[in-house]
Amino acid sequence: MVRFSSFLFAIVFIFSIFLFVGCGGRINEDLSSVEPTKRYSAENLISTLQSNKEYNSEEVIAVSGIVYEVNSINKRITILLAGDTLKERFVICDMNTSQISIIKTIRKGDSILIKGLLKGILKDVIMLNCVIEKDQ
Amino acid sequence: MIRVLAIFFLIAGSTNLVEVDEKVIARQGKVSFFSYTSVEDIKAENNQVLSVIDLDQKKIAVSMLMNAFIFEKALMREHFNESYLESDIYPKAVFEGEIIDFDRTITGEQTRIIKGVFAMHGKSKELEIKSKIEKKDNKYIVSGVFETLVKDYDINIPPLLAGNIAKSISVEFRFEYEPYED
Repeated sequence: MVRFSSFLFAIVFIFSIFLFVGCGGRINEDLSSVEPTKRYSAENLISTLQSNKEYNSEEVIAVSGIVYEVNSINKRITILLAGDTLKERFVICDMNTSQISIIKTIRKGDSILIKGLLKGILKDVIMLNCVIEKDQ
Repeated sequence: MIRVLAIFFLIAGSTNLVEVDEKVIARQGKVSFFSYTSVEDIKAENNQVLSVIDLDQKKIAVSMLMNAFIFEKALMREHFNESYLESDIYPKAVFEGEIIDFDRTITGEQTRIIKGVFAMHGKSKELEIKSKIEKKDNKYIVSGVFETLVKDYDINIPPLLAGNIAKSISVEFRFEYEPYED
């Protein structure tokens, strides 16, 4: 009976760990303490991804740029970073919910550095789970 | 003669002899899908879906990154991207179609059928989607819901997990468009 209970406990324990790991992942992880693999300017990132079809998505990268817009479309806080010369192309940063208080201080035209999970490019570059690294 | 020429150029300049189609863009469109079974419910959403409408041609194009869908559990996202949709091989899903009988002069709401081809996971399927189109000030909002079958897109689900995923998936979308100069 004791052996059966231990076995049951072990199963529940393993299942709990599995669930914990399964519910986490980089998409929900706080990236504040994660070191970015690469650093770009917004302009450079857009140009690089436009010309290079073989980029590594799912990387944590840091991007510097000028804030073009802060919005809450779809009830998600998003910052659009603009390049210096590229028109109508942006880096769309879907912000981690931990950033709400910091984002209130961000204004259009501010120069900032954002870290996030690179997803890829459509017309604009898309990054998820972003955090503001620091004001520049 | 000079006066005639001046009048010609004045008229030409004001009427735009070379007409450019007017377009609107949504960079942060939302597409969600839902799978309901007795075993589990799976929901995911993508909030960075790109769409452009050519208002004069009544054409609409939609493009989304498959790896940008957000799931409740990382394991679901992993299965979705690696096993079912193979997002590294087929990174985008694309829809191209026409808004039937779309009238851009109507302010307020109009319900229209959007007819086109949806391509995902290397397969294309013709769709007709009933959509609500709202015009407010200079913005258009297009939204709707439709059902689509998993088998139409050649998605292989292992027999062991077949009970976890519905055969018919409910897809919901909402796009807010603003003026766009290409």
